[in-house]
Amino acid sequence: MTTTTLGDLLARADDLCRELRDSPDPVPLNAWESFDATAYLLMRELVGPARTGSRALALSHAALCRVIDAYPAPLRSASTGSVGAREVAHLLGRPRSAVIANIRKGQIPSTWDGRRYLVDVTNLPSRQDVRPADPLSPEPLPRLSCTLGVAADLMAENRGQVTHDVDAGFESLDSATAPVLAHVLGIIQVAASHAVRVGPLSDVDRPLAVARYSAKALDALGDVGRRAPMLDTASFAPPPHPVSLNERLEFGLRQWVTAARAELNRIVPSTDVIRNVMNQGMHLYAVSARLLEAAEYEGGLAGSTAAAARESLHTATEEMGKADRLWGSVTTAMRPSHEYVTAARELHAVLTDVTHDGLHPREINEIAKTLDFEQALADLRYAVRDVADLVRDIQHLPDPLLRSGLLFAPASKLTPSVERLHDRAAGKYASVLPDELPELASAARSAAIRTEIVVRTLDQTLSQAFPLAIAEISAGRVFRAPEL
Amino acid sequence: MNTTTDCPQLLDLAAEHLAAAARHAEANACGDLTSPWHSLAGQIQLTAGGVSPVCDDEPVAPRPFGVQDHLNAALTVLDSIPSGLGPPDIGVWAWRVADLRSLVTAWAGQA
Repeated sequence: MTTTTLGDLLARADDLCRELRDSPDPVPLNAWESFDATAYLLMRELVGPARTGSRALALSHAALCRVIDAYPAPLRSASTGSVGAREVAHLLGRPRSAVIANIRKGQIPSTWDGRRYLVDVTNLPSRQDVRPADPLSPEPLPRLSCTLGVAADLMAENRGQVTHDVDAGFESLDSATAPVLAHVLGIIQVAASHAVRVGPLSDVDRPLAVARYSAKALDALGDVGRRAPMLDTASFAPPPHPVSLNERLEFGLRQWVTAARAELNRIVPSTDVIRNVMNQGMHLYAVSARLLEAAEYEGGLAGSTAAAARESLHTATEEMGKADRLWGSVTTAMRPSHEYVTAARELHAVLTDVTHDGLHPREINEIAKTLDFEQALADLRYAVRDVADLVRDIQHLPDPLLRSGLLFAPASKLTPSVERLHDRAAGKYASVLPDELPELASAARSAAIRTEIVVRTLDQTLSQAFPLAIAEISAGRVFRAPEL
Repeated sequence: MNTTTDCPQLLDLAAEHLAAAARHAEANACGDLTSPWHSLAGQIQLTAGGVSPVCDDEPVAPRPFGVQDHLNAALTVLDSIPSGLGPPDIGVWAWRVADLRSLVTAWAGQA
C-alpha cells in the first residue's frame, strides 16, 4: 500500500511537532530556512491562485489571500507557475506600484491576460541557497519540512481534483481550505516558537517574525471549523513493477482510475468508456463484497456491518447495471483510447484473479493464501470513492449530449419521422432527441446516488474494522525531497 | 461468404460480431452481476467500441461457443482488411480481440 492523504501527512506533522517540542538541540539556520520556504509553499498550494467569478467567491478567496500575503517576505516562491503583480511585490518585498513600473519598462518579463500582468516565477530573483531539507536527516525539523513538502506536492498534483470534489459537494472551496490552512499555521507557530526558544540567538530574527505572523494569521482566520474534506485528498504511488496480487490490484486500480478520468474529461466522451466504467464499477463492487465476506469469515468484521455494506454494494450494482444497459442503446461515435482499453483489460484481469480461478470462484482460504485482505480492502475503499466520482461525472452527461445532438442510435430504433426516412431506409444512425430517452438521465442519477451511499457505508464499515490501517501505512511512506 | 469489400463496412461488421460476442457473454452470466462472464462482456463491448462505435442492445439467447464464434468471426473480418486500407491501429484492435479470444478459450477448457 503506497497511498497517503493530506490528513495523514498533517497527522504525521503533528507527531513531528511533538517530537520537536521535546528536542533541546538548537535549530541551524539552513534547517530553519528550508522549513520556512516549504511551509510557505504549502500555504500557497493550499490557497491556490487568485480567483475570479462571482463577487462572493472573490471576496471569500481574498480573505485567505490576505493571510498568505502577510507572510514576512517569503524566502522562495514555487519553482514554477505564474503569479500576479501583487504576489511579485510580496515575493520581492517591494511596493506593487514599483513592480508594475518595472513590468511596464520591461525589466520584469510578463504577459497580459486581459485583466492583469502574469509573471513566470522562474524570471524572479530568488535565494538559490535555500535548499530542500534532507529527507534522510534524523532531526525532527528536516523531517517536518519533508512532510510539509510532500503535502505541498500532493496539493499541487491534485488541485484540479480537490477543486472538483469540493465544488461537487456544494461547499465553498475557501471554507474547505480554511481549517487546513489553520492547521498548517499551527504547525508553523510551533516550529517557529521552538526555533526561537532553542536558538542560537543570532538566528532567531526570522523564526521570531514568522512566529508573530502565524499567531496573527491564526487569529485572522477565526473560528474555521474542524474537519475539512480536503484532508481526504489522497496521493498514490503504486509499485512500478507489480508482482504480488496486492501490488497488481493497487497498480491496476490506479492506472484504470487515471485513464477513466482522462477519458471522461474529453469534450465528447465515448459511450463505450461510460459503459465500461459502469461495468468495471460493478466488477469492483463484486470483488469488494467477496472480500468483505472473507474479512467477516476471518473475524475482522462484525457480521451486521459487513452485511449492510454488502447490501449497499448489491443495490448500487443493480443501478449501475440499468445505467449500463441504457448507455448501450446510444453512441457518441467516439472510440475509446488505447490507454483506457489497456488499463481496463489489466484491471479486469486482476479483479478476476482476486476472486476466481478462471470461471471457478475461489474459496476464502484460497484467496487468503495470495491476498492480504486488509490491504486489498484499503485499496478498494479508495477505488470505490473514485468510482463514485466517475459515476457522478457521468450523471451530468446525458442532458448536454442529448441537447447537442451528440447521442446517436440506429434510425430504425427511433421514432419514425420524415427527416429520418432516408436514414431508416439506409440503416444509418440518427441523433436521439432529448425527449426520446428521458430514462437515461434518471438512471445515471440513481447510479450516482447509490455509488455515493456505497462510499459512506464502506467507509463506516472499514473504519470500524481497520481504524489504524491507513495512518500506519502512510507513516511508512518514503518521502522525497520537496520541490521548492 | 462475406462479400463486403469496403473497409468501414468491414469494421462495422467486426464491431457487430464483437457486440454479439458481448451479448452472448452477458447471457452466459445468467443475470449474475458477479460472474466473470459479465465483466468479460464489458471488455468485449469496449473493444467493439474501439473497432467501430456501434450500439446494439438486442438480447440474445445463450448458446455454447457463442462468444468464441463471434470473436473468431470478428478476428477473421479484421484480418481480412488489406494492409494499408484500414485504420493505422487496426492491428492493435485485432491483437486485443485475439487476447480476449484466448481468455475465452482458456475458460472453455475449464468448463
